[in-house]
Amino acid sequence: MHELLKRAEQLGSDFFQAAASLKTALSHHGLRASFQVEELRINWLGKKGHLSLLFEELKSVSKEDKPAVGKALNILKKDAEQAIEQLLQMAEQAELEAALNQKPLDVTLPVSSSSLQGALHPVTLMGHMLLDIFRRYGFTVYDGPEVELDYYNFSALNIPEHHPARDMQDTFFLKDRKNTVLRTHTSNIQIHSMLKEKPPIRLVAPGRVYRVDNDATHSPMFHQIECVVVDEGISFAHMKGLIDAFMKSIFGSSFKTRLRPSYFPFVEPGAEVDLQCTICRGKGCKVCKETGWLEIGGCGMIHPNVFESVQYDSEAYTGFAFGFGIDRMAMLAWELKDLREMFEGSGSYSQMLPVFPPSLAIS
Amino acid sequence: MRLSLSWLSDYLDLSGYEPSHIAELFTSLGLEVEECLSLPSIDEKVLVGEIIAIEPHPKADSLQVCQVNTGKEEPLTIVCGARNPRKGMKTAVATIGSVLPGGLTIQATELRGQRSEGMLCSADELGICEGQEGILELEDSCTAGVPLKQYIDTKDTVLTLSVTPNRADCLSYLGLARDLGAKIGRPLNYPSVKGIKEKASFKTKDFLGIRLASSVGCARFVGSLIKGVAVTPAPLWMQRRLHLAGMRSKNLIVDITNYLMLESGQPMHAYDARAIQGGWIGVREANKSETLQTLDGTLRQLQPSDLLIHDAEQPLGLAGVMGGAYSEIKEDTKDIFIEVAQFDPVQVRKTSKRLALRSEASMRFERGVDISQIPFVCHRAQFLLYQSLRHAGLDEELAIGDLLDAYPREKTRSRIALRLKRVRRILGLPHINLDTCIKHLMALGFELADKTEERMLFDAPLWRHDIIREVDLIEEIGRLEGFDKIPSELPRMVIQPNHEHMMISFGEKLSQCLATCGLSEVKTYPFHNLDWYKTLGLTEQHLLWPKIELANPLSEQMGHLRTSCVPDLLQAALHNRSKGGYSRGCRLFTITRGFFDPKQAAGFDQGLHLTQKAQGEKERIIEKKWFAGILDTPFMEKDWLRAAEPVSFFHGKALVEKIGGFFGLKNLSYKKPQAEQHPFLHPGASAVISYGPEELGFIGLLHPKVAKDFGFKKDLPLIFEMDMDLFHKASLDQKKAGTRAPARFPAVIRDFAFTLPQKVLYGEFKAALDAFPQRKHLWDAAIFDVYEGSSIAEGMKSFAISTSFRHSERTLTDKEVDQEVQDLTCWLEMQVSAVLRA
Repeated sequence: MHELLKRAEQLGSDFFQAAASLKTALSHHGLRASFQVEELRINWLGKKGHLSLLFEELKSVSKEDKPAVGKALNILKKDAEQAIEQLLQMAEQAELEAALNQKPLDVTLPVSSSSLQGALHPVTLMGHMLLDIFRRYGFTVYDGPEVELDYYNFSALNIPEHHPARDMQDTFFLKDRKNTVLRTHTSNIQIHSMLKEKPPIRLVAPGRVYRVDNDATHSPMFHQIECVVVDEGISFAHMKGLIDAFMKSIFGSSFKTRLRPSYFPFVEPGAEVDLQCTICRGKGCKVCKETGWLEIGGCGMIHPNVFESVQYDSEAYTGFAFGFGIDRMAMLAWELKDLREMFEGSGSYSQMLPVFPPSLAIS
Repeated sequence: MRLSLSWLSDYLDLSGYEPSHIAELFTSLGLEVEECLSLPSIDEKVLVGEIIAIEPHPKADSLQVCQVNTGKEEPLTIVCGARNPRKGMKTAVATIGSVLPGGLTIQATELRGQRSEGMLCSADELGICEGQEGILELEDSCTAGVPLKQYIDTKDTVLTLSVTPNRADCLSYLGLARDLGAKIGRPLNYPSVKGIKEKASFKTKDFLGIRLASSVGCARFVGSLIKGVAVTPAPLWMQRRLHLAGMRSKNLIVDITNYLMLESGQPMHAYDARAIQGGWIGVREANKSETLQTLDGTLRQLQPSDLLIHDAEQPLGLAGVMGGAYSEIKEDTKDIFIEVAQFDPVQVRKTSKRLALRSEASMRFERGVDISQIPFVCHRAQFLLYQSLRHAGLDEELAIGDLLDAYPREKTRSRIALRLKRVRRILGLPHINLDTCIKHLMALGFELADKTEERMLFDAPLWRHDIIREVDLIEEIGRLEGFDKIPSELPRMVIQPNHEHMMISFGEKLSQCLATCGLSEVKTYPFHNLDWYKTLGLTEQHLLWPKIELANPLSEQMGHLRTSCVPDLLQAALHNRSKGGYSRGCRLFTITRGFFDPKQAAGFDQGLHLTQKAQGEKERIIEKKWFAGILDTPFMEKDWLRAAEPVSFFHGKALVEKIGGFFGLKNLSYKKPQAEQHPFLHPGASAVISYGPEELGFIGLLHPKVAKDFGFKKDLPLIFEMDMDLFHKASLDQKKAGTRAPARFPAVIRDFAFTLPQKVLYGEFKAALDAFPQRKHLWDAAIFDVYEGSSIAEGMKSFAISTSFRHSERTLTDKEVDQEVQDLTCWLEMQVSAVLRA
């Protein structure tokens, strides 16, 4: 046997011994396990490693012996590499286990201050929900002025000067500007939009409105969403259907709505919209004054006088309009108690609320 | 309107209907029932008693000891403090164990040593009516010992109805009975005037005439002189009914006028005939500088638009609003003149509004009365007066005059055509038929003048001022049919492209972006205090000085409309501090409008009004949309990870950049603001934010003096405010500028330190860098350190810059980068004297 082979045999057995002992020790080395394997690799298979040095000597082996010796060395090298590879895998496993077994974090520690959470106002959230729904129905969103000329807020809406209907809405007037008011409803949009567009019309317009009113259930500023549909053959039944559909989208399909006759000068027939009480579900409670219903908006078939004030043919076209209190709907959806608290400027107020109201989760 | 159901049943048979059902029916008719109050009967143990003897209390001057027969063998001994008990009087006795409406249980007591076995009660204490002095005086025909409730039953239900302004007719029992009757299919029972016409014993015109000035706002004036009346209290049942309606009883005459106003909806007035001078009474408009003392004792300054009732000498009353003090019914009044008239709604409304005299009468005249029933109502007054005085045995001198009726032009009923097709189409009731329509309208008092298969002609009753067009009839049919009978259907609609204003969805995204950036939204009133703006250091000349003032603000401190959200946010931050949130800081934002005079702020017009149709369009207030925020210290509260972090200018700037970045707006520039434009900002820690030449807004710490004056005791909050419209426009412009394709090959990173003069701002350095003419592969540059100190020469500072170089199609070689770096450093040295540090 060639002398080199003998040495190779010896070295091989030394290597496998070292490898075996490293193997048993690996689990104790923990996080340093793969470093230990790497050390072993460099010692034996590195450029200056024991096995590499043997290959250097192969150059001086006689031609006849070279194939046999070479083959033996190659086998040895391959075996060693395989062993190292195995060790490496074991080492990684050992390292992973060691890492996982380190002291775990107290995951119950809070991160409140660093999360920098912001929030939308409940009225904004409800407004966005409403617009989402109406856009799905194919409605266009409009915006309009909050400080409005008398004509758009009243006269064009069939509320002439000196008409008792003007008392229905306590109006803010501007000093030294006779014809200007803070709009009392979003219905001014009806006039603006119909003057601009030709039928068919289907639009919604959310916005702030103002009335001289300030107590626990009234705020001088509140929010409405106006909806207008004008086309040939639009009926009261269509209005009922649409109101029912969108209220169900907001509050859940089990909630009923009802319309009862009322008076708004710009619609005829006109109605108040009641939603089944969200607190007692119609059984009667304090919030709904034992009626089982909550007043939530007004609606009606657009008055022919209004069509005529925007030069629409009131014989050819019919339409409906409704206006809902966004604040009221937000209060019901998130079960908020005091309307005026919403406008005090408290940031924490918005933060308490989940983006989707709990009642939606039910439906 | 308060409605007693027992009273209502005088005019409509309500048998078989529970009060709660009646309330539901009214609500379903559009007469919303707001409250439903049930009233109990008087306790069974309250009996009719007869006072058979009275003695003064031995120990108390103000008390009397009465012996009261309550039908038992032994009379009861009852101590009474009232002044009016007298021997032989029949009154109400609350016997021991009875419970009074206030919850008081009557027990046997001793009053100053005298045993008392019950209580003699007033009408007040029994809950019959208010304001009556002394114990209840019953008619002699009542039998002692019988429970009082057999004579006076207080059991009732009172509904409070909300009557909309179009339904003048429903401000009356008859009107409400008619509507309910139409719904339940029962006829209306008109109240009686039986035999009263025959009782007229003289002609009123022999004593008094009526003179209506032509073209004056009185379409009908009916009057009657009645002589020899007695001004006594009204009968108890009438007082009771007025009490349930929320009215105070005064005397028989005045009570009858109020009672009939409630019954018929027609206000009326009674004058002391002595006060009418010159033999006639009339209606005219007031003269300038004329005055009148009204019933409430106030001297009113009149104007030519006011309608007056007057005689030959002087004004007697404000027509339809309030009578005059001089001609009112007095205790010794013997002869009265009753006026029942119609007055012009607009004139009554103007006067009552101007004088802030909104009475039950003026409300009914404003909405319109039923001109056709006026003589009937006058007869009713005569009838009730006659009945009451006769019942009380006070009719000896009574003499009733006939009716004078000044009705120059008889009002005709309007005739309205109704098409069945239209009814079906508007209501969405495809099967409703002609007969149903006719049935409903006839029940409401409409008369069918003509009909064909397709069309009907109706004459509207004169009490329905709200019925003008076909659609008004359709509403009546819908109302009586019931809105619940109308099906729910979704409209079929054509798909149609929408052209929504871009600002709308921009606003929605912006609010979401601000919330995602850690700010909480607040919504605040636009009613601002001028003092806030003074505190901000603004003057009248400043664009942000509020110029729009409310004529009727909630308070003087809420008198002006907002121009800027800065005061709102400062108030909100203070609110958060005061609510114990100080140590936690707050980060708030708002998106809202500022209101400007068009003369000053023409450039602010944001085109919110879609059309220009009305008068005064040029003077329209300009509404500018702002978005604004405030960061109050600490930016981050202390926690277990780190110490509290105070708010700095750069927190705000980071925020603005983040919002800008969200909308693709990267090249915002920051310049030191001018003190006169932004006097409320800290001059050393604030900036005006621009995009190109356009100023979008500002950002900065609040000026320490302003902060102190506003009430921030320590630490300066940071505020920013941006013009939403300009910001939106800038973001659109930015998108046109195009975007850079993502990098595909690795960058070469080179870090440098430059020494440069202290006065050179980073912005200038960056501008030079961006303008680098030999730029080929320079991809990005970021500053990562700013240093001034001992290792650098006086007056100099150091910027440490990290740069990256890239090629879009391959990896760069060091050589290529070296060349570009050399060019770059030369350029920077030339431009901003930035020297590469060794």
